[in-house]
Amino acid sequence: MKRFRDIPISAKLTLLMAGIAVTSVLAGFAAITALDKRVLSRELVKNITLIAKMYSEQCVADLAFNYPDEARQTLEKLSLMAEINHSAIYGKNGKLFAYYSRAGAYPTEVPPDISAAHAPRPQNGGALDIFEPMVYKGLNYGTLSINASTAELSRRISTKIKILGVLAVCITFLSLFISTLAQRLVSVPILKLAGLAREVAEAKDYSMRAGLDRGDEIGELAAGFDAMLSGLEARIRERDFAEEALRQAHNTLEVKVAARTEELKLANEELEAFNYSASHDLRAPIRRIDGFSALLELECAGTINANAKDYLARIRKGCIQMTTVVDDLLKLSRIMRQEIKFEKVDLSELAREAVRRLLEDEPGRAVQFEAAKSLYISGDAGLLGEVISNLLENAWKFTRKTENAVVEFGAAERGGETVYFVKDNGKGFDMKYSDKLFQPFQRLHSPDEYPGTGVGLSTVRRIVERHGGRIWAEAAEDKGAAFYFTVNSPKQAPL
Amino acid sequence: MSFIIRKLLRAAALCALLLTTLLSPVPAVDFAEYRVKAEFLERIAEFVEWPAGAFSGPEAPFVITIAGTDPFGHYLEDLARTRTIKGRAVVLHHVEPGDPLGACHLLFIANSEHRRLDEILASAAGRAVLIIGDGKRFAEKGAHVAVYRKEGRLRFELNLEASRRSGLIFSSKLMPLAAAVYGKEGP
Repeated sequence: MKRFRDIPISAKLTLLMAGIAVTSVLAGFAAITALDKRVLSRELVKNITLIAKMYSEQCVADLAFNYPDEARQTLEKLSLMAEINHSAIYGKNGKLFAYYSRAGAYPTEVPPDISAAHAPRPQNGGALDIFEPMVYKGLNYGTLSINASTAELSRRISTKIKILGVLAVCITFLSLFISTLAQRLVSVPILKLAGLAREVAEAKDYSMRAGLDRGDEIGELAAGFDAMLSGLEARIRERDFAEEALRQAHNTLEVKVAARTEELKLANEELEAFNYSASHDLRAPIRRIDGFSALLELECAGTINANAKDYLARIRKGCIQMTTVVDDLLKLSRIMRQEIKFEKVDLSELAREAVRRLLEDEPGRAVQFEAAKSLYISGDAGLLGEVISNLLENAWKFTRKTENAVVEFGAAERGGETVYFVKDNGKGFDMKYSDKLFQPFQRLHSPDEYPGTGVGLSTVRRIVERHGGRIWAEAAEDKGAAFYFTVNSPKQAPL
Repeated sequence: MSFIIRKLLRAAALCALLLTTLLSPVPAVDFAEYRVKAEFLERIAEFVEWPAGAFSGPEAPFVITIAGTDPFGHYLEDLARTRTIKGRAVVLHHVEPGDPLGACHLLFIANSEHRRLDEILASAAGRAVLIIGDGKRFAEKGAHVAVYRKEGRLRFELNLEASRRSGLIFSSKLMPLAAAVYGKEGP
């Protein structure tokens, strides 16, 4: 069976209202019936008592003077009263004096004396006995009894109950009908709200509104619901706008980044291609100039004067210098393209190797070299070797005119990261030119004083950057220079 | 059939019972008749109103005077001893011819005093005395009440005119029971 709380609210209201109406009507009818029964039986007793009083008054002389026939004749007038079964007069001695008995009445036998009349006996369909003393001027002459049937009373009450029953059924139907109409006042707006809530939940459409304009609690509920929906709608609109704006910004950014990256890549590639081809294409003409200059020197050695010979020597020297530049450029280009192979590398070993080569090239130099031991990092051995030897070559070069030259290679902790350095006590440089230091073809000294192409540090910077690190220099003129670099992690180098 | 017979028999028995009950006060001998007549005196006194000054005080007895030969035997004496009339003790007097009536509320004239009726009536004239004569003719002749036996039952006649003259009032309940009522028309 369906529980009451689960049935629809309209049915609930109808049942409640009709139930209350029917219950109160039934209670009222029951009370009316009980009251009626009491009133009617009291009335009957009152009427019969009145009749008994009248007849005892009328018959008291008959009894006093022993006129039973007259008494009987008087009592027989009671035949007009249908509910009176019988009436009897008992003398002072308790004996039956006169009586009247309605034909067909039950019980037919009139009690022969007063004690029998008072004794309980079977009463067909209900009857009551009324006893009235027969008194005249304060003297009691006997008793008059009336036995009256209560069947009429019962019949009237049952008729009344039947009428009330029919009325109760009518009222039940009427109250069901009225409460069906009346419950709509309450349930229809609630059902509308419930339907709207369901629709909103299913369709996720927050633009719907209840629109119930009522002053009661249901109106408040609907207004609250509408306010909630508007709030939700506004919030969702804001969110959608924000999302759209974010998405657009994101898209724009991505497009921009992609475009810039593409531009950069193209520019880099062009630059590298230019570098490579220029370097490559320059080599052959230089070699030809050098070659023909050498032939000229050889074949015309006897015919040209000393000035001409000096010119030729200068041409050849320029060719050699140019070839060095081109080679360096090609190396830089190669480094740019070369893929990095990460492996375990001992930087101090690479440093010692480089110093050994430098000592072989210039055995006469007296340089004090100090290197820390076992500096292992992850990186490309060939490229890192290039870095170390480049930096050491520089140190070697700029301490050429220094007495008691000292070159140092080591590592230190700075700001939570390991920094590797190459220090010397050589020529040094002015720090205001330090930003030009790592750009190609930028030189701080004349090639006559300190030979070089100006490509080396640029190459070094490229390699360090491809290892995820940075490179910088600290120096002062004639006080030596220090080059620091970091190698971050075995990651792919940034673009 | 048997049912009807039984019913008839029962009715007959009932009638017989009733008849004996009704007839029981009727005396087979004279003494029984006067027992009933003594009762009658008591009863009728209750149905008659005496004027206010008839009794000298609240404790004054109710005096019954018998004129002529007392026919009641011991019945009236028993009654006077055991009962009250109008809430008063009952006193019996006898009056001889020629004697003054004295204090009296009820005067019973024996049947034998029929010849002396006028004399006796004169002795009580103007007084609130209920005069009852023992015989049918007394009421017609001027007594207030005549009591007599007829067909085995006690009957009575009233003389309203006489009672009015004495200042006595009969209860209206007595009228339908009286065999005859004289002097009905009031003045």
